[in-house]
This record gives sequence, structure tokens and C-alpha cells, in this order.
Amino acid sequence: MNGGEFSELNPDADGVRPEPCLETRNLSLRYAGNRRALNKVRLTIPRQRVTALIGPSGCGKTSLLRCFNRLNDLVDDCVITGRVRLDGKNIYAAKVDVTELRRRVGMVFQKPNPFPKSIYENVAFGLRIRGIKSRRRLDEIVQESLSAAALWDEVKDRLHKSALELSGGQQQRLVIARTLAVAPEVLLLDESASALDPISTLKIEELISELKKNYTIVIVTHNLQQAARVADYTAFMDMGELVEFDTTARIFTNPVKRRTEEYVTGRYG
Amino acid sequence: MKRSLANWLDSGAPWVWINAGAVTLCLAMVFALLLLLGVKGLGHFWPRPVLQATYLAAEPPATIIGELAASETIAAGELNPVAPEEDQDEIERQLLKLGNRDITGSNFAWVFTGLLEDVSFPAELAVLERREWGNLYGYLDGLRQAGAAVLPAGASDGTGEARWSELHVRLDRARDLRREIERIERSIIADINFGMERLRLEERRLALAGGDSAGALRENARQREAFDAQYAEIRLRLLELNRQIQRDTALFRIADGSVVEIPVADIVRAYRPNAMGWAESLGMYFERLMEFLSGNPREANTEGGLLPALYGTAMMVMLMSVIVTPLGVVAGVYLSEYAPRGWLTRIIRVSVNNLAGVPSIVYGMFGLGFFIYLAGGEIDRLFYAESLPAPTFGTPGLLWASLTLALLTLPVVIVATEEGLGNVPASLREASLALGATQFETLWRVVLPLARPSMLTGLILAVARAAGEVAPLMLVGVVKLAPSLPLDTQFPYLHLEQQFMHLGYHVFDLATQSPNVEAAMPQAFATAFLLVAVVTALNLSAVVLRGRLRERYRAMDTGAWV
Repeated sequence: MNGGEFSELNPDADGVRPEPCLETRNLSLRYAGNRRALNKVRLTIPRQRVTALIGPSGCGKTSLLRCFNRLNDLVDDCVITGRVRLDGKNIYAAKVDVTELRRRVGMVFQKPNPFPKSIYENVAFGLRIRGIKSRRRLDEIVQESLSAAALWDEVKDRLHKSALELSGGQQQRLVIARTLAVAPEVLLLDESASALDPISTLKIEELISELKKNYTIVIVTHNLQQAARVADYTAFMDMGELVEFDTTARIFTNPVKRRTEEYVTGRYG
Repeated sequence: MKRSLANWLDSGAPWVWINAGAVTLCLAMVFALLLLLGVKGLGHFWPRPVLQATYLAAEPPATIIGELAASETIAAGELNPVAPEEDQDEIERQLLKLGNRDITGSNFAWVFTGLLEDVSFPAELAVLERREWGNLYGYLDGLRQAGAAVLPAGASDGTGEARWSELHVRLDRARDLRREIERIERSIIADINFGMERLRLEERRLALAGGDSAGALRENARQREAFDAQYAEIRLRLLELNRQIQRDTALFRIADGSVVEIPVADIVRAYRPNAMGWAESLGMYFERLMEFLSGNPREANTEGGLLPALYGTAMMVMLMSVIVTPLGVVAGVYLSEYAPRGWLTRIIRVSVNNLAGVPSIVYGMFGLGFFIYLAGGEIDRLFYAESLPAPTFGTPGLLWASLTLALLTLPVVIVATEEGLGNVPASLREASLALGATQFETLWRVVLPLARPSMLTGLILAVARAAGEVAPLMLVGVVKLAPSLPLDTQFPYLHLEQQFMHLGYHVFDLATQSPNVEAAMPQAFATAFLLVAVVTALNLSAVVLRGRLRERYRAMDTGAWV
């Protein structure tokens, strides 16, 4: 690994310099019709920290996020150049197993999207895909994942009821549990609390703080307070470019770039 | 005033009225159709009273007996020759079903209501439904057993009740005997015929193959002898049964006073409608309805049941479903999920949609030309050479009809499948892919289960269309009367090469091809009603399924605060 790249990550609030987990170099993305969504993005996501991507609508936050698990591959005529490295390995290399990558880099979407199956089967979905059949093992992982997503106590008596009967906030935590069940290393949250009520949002935020002990977390959010509350590091993006990346405290209190300052103080965007 | 009219126009109220009017009109037409079919068709099974009267128009005035079939009022001037009562402008006349076709030659007659005298509905008047020659109307006059009178005059009381109960005993006996005869003909004789045919084909195959076959031929001859012996034995038994069944006859006095002798074995049902109460009539109604649904047709399809047609329709539709479902679903999945999005896919999709609009008779021609003559002919040459020149598969039959209809309904299934797949929310596909599922796993575990109801809807619509289709079937396998059902106890049980009967064609046949139009009409209405009922039921289930599907997606779109 290139030692020089460590220097990009400033020490966090506790003075610890985290290891890099995901790195992008020169990452550009063009959609059909030559619309440029990302322009030469160079970003390093720290391991086992929460990183927030903020910026005005259409700045490329979500496009960047979807580069990390190659979900952009599904978009027709989407051209990606540059490199994205997970643990130092280029995930856009030819021989990469995309399904394995997506297992390692889990994603939670803006709207809760549980499958129209039972709660249990939702969590077990990824496991069944991976060929795990043992009932005991499934039960175990389902319980672990639901507990990790702080949902177990609420649903343990109705595991075999439809997931669609849960409230929106519960559904979102179920989706998180579903993602955790396949044991990812990175969790990508795409405005995952924006469609929820304040109490559910709070629960999700608490959950994020809890999960960062074991996972590298990247969240996209429009809510600056949320970013300030949960994120250790924050990246400000604008017009497909990474404007500034630093610890959250520095971005919100002492940003280097003028555009950043204008955005976080509410004068822009 | 002008202002308010303009306001009324602007408010959109006229549009609402026009739309509501159009809906009302459509509904009214549909209900009128169902009502007509229902009344004409289902009313047919209710035992109607039989009238006896003296008809003055006949020379000399004669007694007539008949069932009232229809009545109408016509202008006197329309009649030729001019009406018998010149002082009236309008004349009421009635259509009477006189029956007794074997004796009088005519089955129905229009009579002028005004010229009927002494109209009565005698309780003793009997209706005989017969295996041949249609109904007979008359009075039960006596019974004979092997030519000798049973229950001589002394035993018969005033109402003839004893005679009637004796007749019913003998009817039951004849029915049991007939069942036995049919059983023997259907199973044992059919087995023998099948075996003999097999031997014949085997010999022909040996002859075609050439070479030394003396041993095989000897074995065949031995088997044939066994069959012949068995057949001779069965034939004796059948002769005996036929002799027994002919034992009883019943004497009936008909309208002109003469007495006719009817073999009891020829009587399907004998009853006295004028004496029957409400409950008895209802019983008779259901008995006749059951016969309609589960019996074989008689008298050029104008009487009896339509089990073979119902059966043939069901078999064909089932076979068609088995063929069209996998084909349509797989094609739909490919077009929707895997086909690259380009002009070629677009052209294919448009073509599939257009196929749904090709006139069905064209499919019939294709089936005849491609399936029957080309494919069927080739199959015969390769596998059934020994029975040529008589074709086995190179002739219209169940398999080809099912294939042709499968082709006809394929677009429906493809389009429904594509629509169902397209309706599955993208968020669910992404969720599955983001969990590390491959495209196929996503399709198999998430997308297809969600699209299942709309595939089912497509299939049901296809089935409804196929069940009601007639034109192409006339070319590829449907006949007026099929001697045997396409599924029976003879190997290979399902006879794909056989011709079959079909409800739609049955209606066509009854309504236009029957030699006895008046007699066939109620049966045609009843068959049409049944056909409409079947198709409507299928369409309704499609609607219900679609409703459920929509509900499921709605729950998804709102983030499911159900």
C-alpha cells in the first residue's frame, strides 16, 4: 500500500489516525448523454469510522456511493474511469467477483425496501443466496443481525409475519439487519433516514454510532445536523467534484474552502 | 341563462354525463345478452305444461297435443293465405311442440290461438323423451312384456298409477341393462378392437421391414384367434342383453287417438308435467340440467348433453396452457430482463403485440398447413408408416388444435409476463443485487414471485380466449360429433391425434347446421350460456388476481405503512 496516502487522513477527534478502507483515485463517471456526474474524485474513506458525504442536490454524492458497490454497473451507458480500491485492491479490475464485492460492501437505500416476504426471510435472504441451508445457523444469524440492528426485541414474536406490516423506521432497521446478515465490511447508507419520522431517524443515528465499532460506514445525507451528529469525517461535494474532506469538526467549524463554509453555514445550496 | 349554460359546459358535467351514459349502455348490453342467453337457455330444462285442445283450422277439426314453445302477435296482412278471422288486425299465434316426429312427420306447428277450443291440461298427459325421434306426447295406455299385456284391465285403476309405477320399474331395468351393454362395448370390445388393430399394424410393419417373420406371424395368428374367440363370446352376451332390453314395450295413445307401441329401452325419461308440483318440477329441472352437463348428445346434438364438448374444450385448453405457459413466460422474461435494449428488441416487441391482432382464422390456416400437413405428415411417415395411407397425426386433431391455439394466445402471455416483470419495483431488484445476488438469483427469488400473479392473469386471459375461439378450430381438429373422448382407458390414454368436440363449435353447429332448427334452438342457447359462463368466470378470476397484485405494489410504493 502506498504509505503516502495515509497522510490524507487527518487524526480524528481522539487524535487517532485511522487506516484507509476505500480509496478513489481520479474517479470520473459519465451517464448517457455525456452528463458528467463525478469529476476526478480523490477520496479516502477511513476504516471503522463514519464518513458523511454532503453537498447540494445533484452534486454526485449518490453516484459516488454507488461506485463503491458497483451498483452503477446496472445503469445503461454509464462510463466510469479512474480507480476505486477496497483494502488496496481495485474493485473495477476485470477479474473481480461483483457479487462478492456487493456482499462485502452493503447498501441501505433511501426508502425502506424490504422484500414482500416474512421478517425472517428478509434477513435470511442473503444467507440463502450464499447457500446456507442449516436451520440452526440461519436462526442464529437472523437473531444476531436483528439484534445488531436494534430490532430484535420489537419483532422477535412475529418473525414470520410479513415485513410490510412493520413501520417505516422498523423497515429501515430491518433492511440494515438484512445487510448486516451477510457480514459486510462497509455499510453504505444513501439518505437512509430521510424518509423517516424524527424518532425513527434518531434510532437509526444511534444505530450508526453503535455499528461503527465494527463497520466502515459511509452515509449520504442532506441533513447537516445529522452529519454533524453522527459523522467522524465529512466530505463536501459540489458539481461532481470533491471540494473538501476533513474531520467533521473541522468541516463544520473551520473549513478551508469558501464554498464549504458557505454551504455549512447555509448561505449556499 | 346563457352564462349558466356556459358554466355548466365548463364544469365538465356534460362529459361526466356522456361517460356515464356510455358505461350504462355497455352494461345494459352485457346484461341483456346474459339475460337472453340465461332465460332462453336455462328455461329450457324446466318441464313445461302440455296442452290438449281441439284445433278448428284443421279439416276436420282435430285434437292436438303439444308443448307451448313460443307465441307471437302478427299483423293479419302478413299471413298468406289470409287469416281465418278477417275482422281482426292482429292475430296471436303460438308455436306448439307436437313431437311424435316418427308418426306425424312434423315436430313443431304454428297454431292460431283464437282457433283453439276446449283447451285443457290433462294431468295424465305424458311426455316421453326418447333416444330417437325426439319427444312423444300421449297417454300411457298399457304395458307389454314380450308381446303379452302386463296388468290387464282389471288391475288398472282410474288414474293409471299402478301402470305408471310398473313403467318406472321397467325403465329402471332397461337403464341397468343399457349400462351393462355400454360397459361391455366401451371396455371389453374396445380392448379387443385395440388389440386386433395392434396385430394388424404389427403384421404390416413386419411386411414393410421384410426379412424372416414367420415366427412372429404365427404368434400373431395365435393371438388373433384368442381375440376372435373372446369376441364371439362377448357377441353372444351382447345379443342376449339386447334381446332382454327389447322385452318390454309401452303403449301410448297419441293425439289422433291411435295407439303406438314404444320399446321401453328407447325411453330416456317419462313424466306427466301437468301433474307435477313445484318441487317435482324442480327435481326434474336439475335432473335435466345434470343430463345436459354430463350426458352424451342425441338426435344430431339437439337433445341430451354436451359432456363431450365440455370435455373436449377442457382438454384442449389444458393442453394449450401446458404448451403456452412455459413458452410465453420464458420469452417474456428474456425480452424484459435479458434482451439488449435496441431497435431489434423493439421490433420484436412490436411484432409480438401485433401478433395478438392477427385474425384467428389465419392461425387456423397456419395450423392446418404447418402443423397438420407438414409436421403431422412427417410424423406419420417416420413413426406410423404401417398405418399409412390412413393418417395418424397428419389429420386434424387435439394436439394440433392445442398447438394452434397456444400460438394464438402466446402474445397475451408474453405481454402479461413483460408487464408483470416491468411492474416489479426497481428498488427491490437493487436491494437483492446489493446483497450480492446475481441477476438470475434476483430474477428467480425476488422478481418472478412478484410477477407471478400477472403471469397467471395472462394465462387466464389466454385460456378465456382459447375457450371461446371457434374459427381456427374448425380447421385443425374440432368436429360436430366425436365418437369417443380424447382421454379414456385405452393406451396411451390421452389420444392427441383424435378429433374432439368444442363448446363454441357446438353452438355454431346447433344454431346453424341443425336439420331441426326449432328443436335445437334452446340447446344452442343453453350451450352459449354455458360458454359465456365459463369465459366470464375465467375473466373474473383474472380481474381478482390483478386487484390483489396491485394492492401488493401499492403497499410497496408508500413505504408500506399498511
